[in-house]
Amino acid sequence: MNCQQLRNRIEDVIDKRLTPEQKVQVDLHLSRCPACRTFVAVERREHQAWFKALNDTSDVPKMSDGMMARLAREVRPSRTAGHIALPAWARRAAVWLVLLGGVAAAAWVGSEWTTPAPPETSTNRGGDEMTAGNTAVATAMVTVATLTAATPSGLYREGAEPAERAPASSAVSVGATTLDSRTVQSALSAAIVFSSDEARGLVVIVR
Amino acid sequence: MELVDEIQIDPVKGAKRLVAEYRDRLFCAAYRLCLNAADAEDLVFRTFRRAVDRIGTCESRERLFPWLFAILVNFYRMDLRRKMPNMLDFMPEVPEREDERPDAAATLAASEDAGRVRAALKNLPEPYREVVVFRYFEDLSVPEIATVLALPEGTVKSRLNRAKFALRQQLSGTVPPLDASTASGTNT
Repeated sequence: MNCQQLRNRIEDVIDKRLTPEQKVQVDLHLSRCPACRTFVAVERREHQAWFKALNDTSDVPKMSDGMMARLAREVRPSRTAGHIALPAWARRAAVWLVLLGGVAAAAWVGSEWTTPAPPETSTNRGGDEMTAGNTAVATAMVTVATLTAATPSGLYREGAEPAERAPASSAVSVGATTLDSRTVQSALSAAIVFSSDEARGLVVIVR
Repeated sequence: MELVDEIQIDPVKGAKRLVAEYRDRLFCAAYRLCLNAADAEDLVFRTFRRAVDRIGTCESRERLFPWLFAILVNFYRMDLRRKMPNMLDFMPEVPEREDERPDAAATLAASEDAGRVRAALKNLPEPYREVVVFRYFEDLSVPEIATVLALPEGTVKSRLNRAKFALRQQLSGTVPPLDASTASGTNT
């Protein structure tokens, strides 16, 4: 290790975030280089002094009573009515159950219509099958949309700010929990496959 | 019960606890950043409102403060961009030559005076101040700052290096206080 390499790594040296190998190299260099020993000592003292200065709150004014009251009164989830406090896996399972239930209902209603029927009803059988199936799927989608809407903050993608987006950029939040995007996409795709125009409309709403 | 869990299970009670635990420290950090009590209060309020809605996205359950502070910094940057669109572009160069750098003894002596350090911080333009506040107020490491600000480690290191240089310049009396509005030159 040379002087420049040590200086490039000064923050890690101060924080003691060196691997055992790096520490050996740093110690070896410092034992041979008085200039770098002084450099590290100055940086350490400076770090401590600046830390102390910024954490000394004697110059910071007190928060106003008005803001304290406002924080107590207004800081809460944007919507709490109807909030269901379930863990994420339970929310996910609930969404799938509702979707599968809808599909099963559609299949059942469809099979009912395919049984032999009097001639006067069979003329419109194809169209009625579709309508009944679609109604069931649409009902499922309404339920999903309702579940989504009933959670505190609704369904949203992360905002545009990088620091908030970074931790969960691949996820979609449903209220206080998170559904991974694959789950949501699969659910919506399934709905699109089975749905009619009105169900597609609901998909758009959920999106 | 962990605070993150409490907010998810009982949002109203959890939000109260979040405010009670982090209000003062967040306000202090906000004040260090924007140097104005009214603006700091507004930032803290918006930060808590956003935080309780997005608590599910918080991954650092043990250390909530950096996450909260990152939200606050985002609001701060948005406000700053509205007020001064070119404010974030200014970056002074750190000289390569040792003899062009501020005198270490003079800087160190001045660093012992907390008031002078804070005055120097006040004159520090963005985006230095936020990096300095993260580093010296919250004592975060470079990788931690990079994670919180969603920036590459190299960028954080470079900003911190330049921020330290600018602070030393002011503490040693080498240059008059930096003022981004009158400074020229851009860098990243």
